[in-house]
Amino acid sequence: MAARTLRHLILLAALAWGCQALADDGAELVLVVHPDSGLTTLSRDEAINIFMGRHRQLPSGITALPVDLAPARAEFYQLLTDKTLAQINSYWARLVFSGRASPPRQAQDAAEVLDIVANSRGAIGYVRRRDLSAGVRPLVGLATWRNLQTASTAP
Amino acid sequence: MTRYRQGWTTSTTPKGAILNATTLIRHLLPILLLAAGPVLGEATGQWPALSVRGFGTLGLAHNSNDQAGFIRDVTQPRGPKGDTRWDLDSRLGLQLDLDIGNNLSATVQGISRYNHAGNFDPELAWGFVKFSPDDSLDLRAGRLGWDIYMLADSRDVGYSYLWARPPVEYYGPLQFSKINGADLVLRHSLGNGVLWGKLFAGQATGKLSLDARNSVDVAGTDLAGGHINYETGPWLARLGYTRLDMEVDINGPVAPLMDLLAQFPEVFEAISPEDTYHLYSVGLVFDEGPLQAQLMLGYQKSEPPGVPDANQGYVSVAYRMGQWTPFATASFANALSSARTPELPPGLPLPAGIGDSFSANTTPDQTTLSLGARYDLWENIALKVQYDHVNVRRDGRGYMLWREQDSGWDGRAGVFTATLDFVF
Repeated sequence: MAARTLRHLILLAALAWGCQALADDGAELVLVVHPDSGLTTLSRDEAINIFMGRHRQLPSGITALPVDLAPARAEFYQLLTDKTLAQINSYWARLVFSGRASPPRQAQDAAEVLDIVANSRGAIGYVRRRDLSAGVRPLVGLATWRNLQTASTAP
Repeated sequence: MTRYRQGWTTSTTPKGAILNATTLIRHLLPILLLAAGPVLGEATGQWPALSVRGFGTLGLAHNSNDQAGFIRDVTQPRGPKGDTRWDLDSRLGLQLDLDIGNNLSATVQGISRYNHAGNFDPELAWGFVKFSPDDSLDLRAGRLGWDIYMLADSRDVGYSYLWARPPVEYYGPLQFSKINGADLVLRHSLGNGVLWGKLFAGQATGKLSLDARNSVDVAGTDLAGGHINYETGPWLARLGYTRLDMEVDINGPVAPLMDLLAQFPEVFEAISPEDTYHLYSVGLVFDEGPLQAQLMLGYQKSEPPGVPDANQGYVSVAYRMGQWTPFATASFANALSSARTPELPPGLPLPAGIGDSFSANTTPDQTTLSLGARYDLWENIALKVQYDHVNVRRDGRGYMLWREQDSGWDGRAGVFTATLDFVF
């Protein structure tokens, strides 16, 4: 019994160390929202619904304003949907040219994302962990999605 | 008689002074583009109020069979027949989106494509005002795409799909692509996914082609319909229904013949496509990472006695490998009863075989197997190649998806297509 508990502890420690190692260089992408958004977490399906324009509503009921960090867009959508930028752009071409929805606003750098998110209750964006600032609430690190396989860009 | 001159045109004839939508687009677009330049250029920090986007395709289609012309859809008057044509799949679209504020926006889209008249005169594809009081409701009014099937209202945007062209058996026979009317979208988060539905109603606008010389104006056709969708994870399912009351106006050499036959009500009733149609559809999409699969089915219930009920559908599977995405598609359309040649009154100066051509024109019976691949050259440019092997059974050889058929045609066609698709 004690041996089993010990094994679990070692496993947990290893896991924690692994996550720490991933986060250490601060390059991990982190979803961020306004401190008054009413959100403390967000599932991957919920993030897909918002960023892919299916339903622009935060789980707290506020209208969502998704923001892309242009230089990290390819990495973000690979993590979110396992799709390339060409696939994501194809998806948006269908929605844009049938007047259904517009793609997320494009921010050119982390400072712009943080500025938008800190000033709008419904805004949701992503920045690298090392760029986080006090004005926004970090929700979830996207490294946790790396090995999950749920994604969609259905029409 | 005094001729007058209007300020914005150099024409001195009253006819030339008529400003139609086409002229408007042609004259306004360059101006709007110039005006938009600075707005787009300084779009950092501010939400851009006006955005200009476009899409286009350069395509080459070759039909190895020289006994029937292959077309993309029923608006096209001619298609490759033992030769190669660039006009079948080539087109250019330009869209302006204006964010007015107060949850209002406006969109205008002009498109230039090979049309019923055999030219590329630009037309207004979309032009609507949209009101979104909250994230769960959209209301639009104006000129709208006909959203009857999944992808139907974006079938001109080649970059948005994998194929060189959408399966012709499913999207080719669509009577029109746009309506003047209104639609409403409602969304609701349910489980991990989103349940949403659309209702639309309006009047059709546009012209189809019967052949190189005869066209059909469908303006005046009333339609109403809707669809309900559920999207969750990699799945999207959709059920749709549209009812339309067809009204057609035939232009061209065949028009006097129709006028003549209209004097015999029972004959006219047997050949006229004017009446109610019910169009049912089911769509299922699975799209996860590199794998994409689609299944679409449609059923057309036709009330005109001379038009048979019909089924159509396709299944398509694709798998991305690096920049390449090979795909395979099987599609079909078939009438549920065979073509019935109407009895025409004797003694009229009618061309030989005209009765057969009336009934054959509305009786599909064909299958296509397609293989192809998309290569993503850049983030907004794709190259595609596709081969279609088409098999048309005897009843379907006079169908409106074919042009200039020779009587000895065996119903086979092999179509090679290469396209360059882009968005900007």
